[in-house]
Amino acid sequence: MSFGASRVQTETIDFSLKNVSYQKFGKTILDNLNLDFNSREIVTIIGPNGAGKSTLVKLLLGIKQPTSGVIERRAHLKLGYVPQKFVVDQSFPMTVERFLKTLSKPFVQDIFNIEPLMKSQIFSLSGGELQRVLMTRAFLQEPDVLVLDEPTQGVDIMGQKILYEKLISFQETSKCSVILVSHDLHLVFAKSHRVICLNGHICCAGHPDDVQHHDSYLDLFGSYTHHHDHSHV
Amino acid sequence: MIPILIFLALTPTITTIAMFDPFFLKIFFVAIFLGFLAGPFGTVVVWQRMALMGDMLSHSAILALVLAHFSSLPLLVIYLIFSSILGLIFHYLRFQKYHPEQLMMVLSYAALSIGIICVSKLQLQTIKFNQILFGDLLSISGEDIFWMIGGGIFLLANFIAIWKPLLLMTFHEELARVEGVPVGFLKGILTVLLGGVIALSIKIAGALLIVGLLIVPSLSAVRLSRTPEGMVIRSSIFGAISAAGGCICSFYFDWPIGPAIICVSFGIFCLTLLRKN
Repeated sequence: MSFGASRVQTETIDFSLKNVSYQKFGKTILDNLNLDFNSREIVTIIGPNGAGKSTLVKLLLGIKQPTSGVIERRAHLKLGYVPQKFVVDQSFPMTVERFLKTLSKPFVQDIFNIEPLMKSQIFSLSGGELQRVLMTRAFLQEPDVLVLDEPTQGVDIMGQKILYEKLISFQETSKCSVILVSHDLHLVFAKSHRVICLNGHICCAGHPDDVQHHDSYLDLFGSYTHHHDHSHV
Repeated sequence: MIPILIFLALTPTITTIAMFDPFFLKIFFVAIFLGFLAGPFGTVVVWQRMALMGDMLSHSAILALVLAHFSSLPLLVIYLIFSSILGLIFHYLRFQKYHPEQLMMVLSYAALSIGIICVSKLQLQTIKFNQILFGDLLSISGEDIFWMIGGGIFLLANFIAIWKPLLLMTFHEELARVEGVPVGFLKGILTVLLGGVIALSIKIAGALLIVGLLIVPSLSAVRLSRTPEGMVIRSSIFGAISAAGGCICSFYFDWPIGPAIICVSFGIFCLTLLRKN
């Protein structure tokens, strides 16, 4: 069983999952996934809470190991990771400026307008500000694959739009692959090359236009998709 | 107020006299050095929440005393080996349903009790509980000083070597892992280093108070620092001042050394609370 775009040559595949399952406390989180992630592709993973989206991402990144099955990764793949929203301990003093220096890369382009935050403590940032800092750092690394786990949690609707626009334009110039876990269907659908609808197993996958009309997608998200025409700024 | 003023007036005289006593001088500088070591390692304990691990390692050091009784190796070396091995075992030990911290609490008190029973039942006359639990300056030998300085420098060199990945790991463990930091291995190293610091300073601070010696200076530094490096340097300075103050109080007022150091350290902590953010 193969989902998504037609078969491509191996060197253009970043990750290849073969019969991958993941169990925790005897409970199956992911069940027998067979899936390829192609290079230079924007893939969006959607699914309800507890669908195993973050687990899938952690398997790809090598943070977790599958209980069974194999994940093949392209050699010398450089990964960039923007984790899900988290809290930084207040006993860890670190300015944004010092944090960016943990990479030995010069800070050239202020894509996310973090210059005003440079002297702030990391733990004092709001969720949205921290996301902007993390995205800046991930971009600076010039990754082959950029993995983002719900990057817009705690970001208002206008901010989400801007964040995704910047992400898309970064992808277009750098030609990296993007793997994105997201709930913001209306914002990411249009620009994704492929959407994977996950709920323990792969419900459906393919081009956004096709997925949107797929039965299992409508079952999961039928009442979920709605368009915002205003913001609350 | 008046006793404090008298103390302040006496301090210069006391320190001048102290400088002429070669025995005191040696121990004084070793204590300052160990207080300084509390800076980097106390910071790690605070960031990685290893206080319970520290308690467990220091409480079980009493068991090492029993081992030392049956061996010809210097006590400090036995401490070093014992706490490093113990730290490693607990680093890799995993039990379902228990958080590692909960398990450490259980073992920390069990080790303390077993150690005390062993010491009293084996009739080890050479071991005095006060010395073990609260530290004793007079028990430090010339050989100990050699091990303390050499071991301390070794630990410090290791700390500097892992500093960069440590920062990333403290910020976000999984992010660090993605960027190639061997998180599990690094935590194992931290545990062994912590065991080493505890072994080196147990004669100064005592098994019950040693974690206090490590974390109080670091927590004093938190509010004053804007960068991780700043925090380490400040807590080293606070640790060194605490050790120096504690030594003076111990040597001239006959206070138990461990509690004396912690009290000075606590005084510094209170002073830092006065600073507005």
